Amino acid sequence: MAEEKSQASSSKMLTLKASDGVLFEVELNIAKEMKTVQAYIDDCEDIETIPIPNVLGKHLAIVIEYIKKTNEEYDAEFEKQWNMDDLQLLLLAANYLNISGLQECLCKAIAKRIENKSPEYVRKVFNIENDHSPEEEAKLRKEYKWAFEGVDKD
Amino acid sequence: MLIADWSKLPKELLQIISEKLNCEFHELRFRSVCSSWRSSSIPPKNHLLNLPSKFPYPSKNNNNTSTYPIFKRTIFLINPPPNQQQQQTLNPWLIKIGLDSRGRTSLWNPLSRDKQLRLRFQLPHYFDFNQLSLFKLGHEFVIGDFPSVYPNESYSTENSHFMKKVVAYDDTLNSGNDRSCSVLLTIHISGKLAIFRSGDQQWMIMPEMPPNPYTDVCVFNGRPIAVDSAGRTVVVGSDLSLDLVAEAVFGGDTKYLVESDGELLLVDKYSNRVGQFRQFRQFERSDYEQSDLFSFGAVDERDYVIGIERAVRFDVFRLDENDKKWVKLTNLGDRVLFLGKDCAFSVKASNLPMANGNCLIFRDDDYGRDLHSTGLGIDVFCLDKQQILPLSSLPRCSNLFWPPPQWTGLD
Repeated sequence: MAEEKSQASSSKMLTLKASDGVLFEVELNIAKEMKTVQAYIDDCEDIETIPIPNVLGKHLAIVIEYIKKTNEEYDAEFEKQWNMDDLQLLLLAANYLNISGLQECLCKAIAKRIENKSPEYVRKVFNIENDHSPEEEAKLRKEYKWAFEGVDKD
Repeated sequence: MLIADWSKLPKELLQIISEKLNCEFHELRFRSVCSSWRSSSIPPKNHLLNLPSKFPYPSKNNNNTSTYPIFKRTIFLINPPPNQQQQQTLNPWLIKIGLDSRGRTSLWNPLSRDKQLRLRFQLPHYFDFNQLSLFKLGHEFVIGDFPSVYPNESYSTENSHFMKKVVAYDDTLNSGNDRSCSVLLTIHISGKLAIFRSGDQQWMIMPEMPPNPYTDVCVFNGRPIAVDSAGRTVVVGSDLSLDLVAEAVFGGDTKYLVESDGELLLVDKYSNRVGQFRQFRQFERSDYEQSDLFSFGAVDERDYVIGIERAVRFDVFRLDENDKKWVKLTNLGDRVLFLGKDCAFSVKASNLPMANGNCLIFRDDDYGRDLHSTGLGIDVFCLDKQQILPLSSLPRCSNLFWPPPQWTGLD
């Protein structure tokens, strides 16, 4: 895929290469929202193709779209389209690429999805093993048993 | 192909997620999932970021040095554990829970500031929240300790019953920095808005005098919103400018804001004055300047009159954001609105469960209330009949609040 070099630096294009080889042409100002990419550019000014080894093409496409479109409305609807697995991979991508707005948005979305669920449900959905040692488990039990105290004066 | 391994999520991300949970109970569950999740979450106390733990009351008198602790209370709908549900349909329980001034977990009247009375069981009694289905309905912040129910009994002079609803939101101006900050918004007794930001020592009373006093504040989609007694609604910008959200509707005496099904509703309360009483020697302290009290209608600085008002009916409006107008709603459908002193929320009737929605559950102020009444003081306004009924006349509804359902083992 050939890149275009344009006169004005604001419309200079960069190529990002996802882990599965998919290539994305993005404008420089979009790519700069990814602080990791920015650091790359700062280091080697002439770079034209930047490898993104941790992120699949599918997720990189979503991330780029987010950067282009982000605003209050878009963010509110954004997270609803993705399942839990995609959410996690998107979060890891946002974290690696250092895009704080997307990271916040995704953390908030994940919190919302697990908010009213029990630890057992969360473990099931996220496929996590409860690896607490018996001592830790006992400590936790103590922590989350809430004591009520009756209102004494009556 | 990458398989999402959640337990290996980097610690800093787990911490951000845990911060966004915004509720002690949910965080406890978060932490009990597995050890790496557990070691990542360090919830800030009260979830107020970069604010002190004690606050003065808002006052024009800047020599005010007395401060009072702030308490966060959460309102939950609790359902019994699944295995118990095979028996007859079991009532959920609507509770408000939070710490009291002595750090004890306590139950509070869901619609007012006082403690839930008459919990008679022996101490200590353990209630395992991790086994139940908890649904968070809302939360509130209260500054000051309110151990006693009735303001005209002797009570700790540490409180101000004139302290109005306090809401907290994130300071967007600082969102670029590492440390995010919370901001508190409330209404000063003069009817103006007051703000407390990170680094402040006193509340900043916003100088703009609206044509009508503000009567309610809320946070909607992360933004602080205030409404005055005529219904004129504004949003507080990050530079503390006030931008119009909706024009006034006039109508009744007091306006409230409630979020319901993702939209913002206005509740307009019509009240009648049914009596009054004098309160003496309330303000010998310098918490309030004379001018604060005069705007409230005080006679002199030690003796003032409190009117006793009772609601007679309510109108509900939904917001048309584009036209900046409140549009009257004649039917709430399946929704039940709850109007508390410091928190308002909406629940679907089918979740409560109640046969019909389309009603509003509220509590008139404590002033003038029968001191020996054993009830919760909660009433229900039915929009279809345009009628107010006491909670006791709707047993299914009344059972939501008190006594605790049998399955809790607390009765």
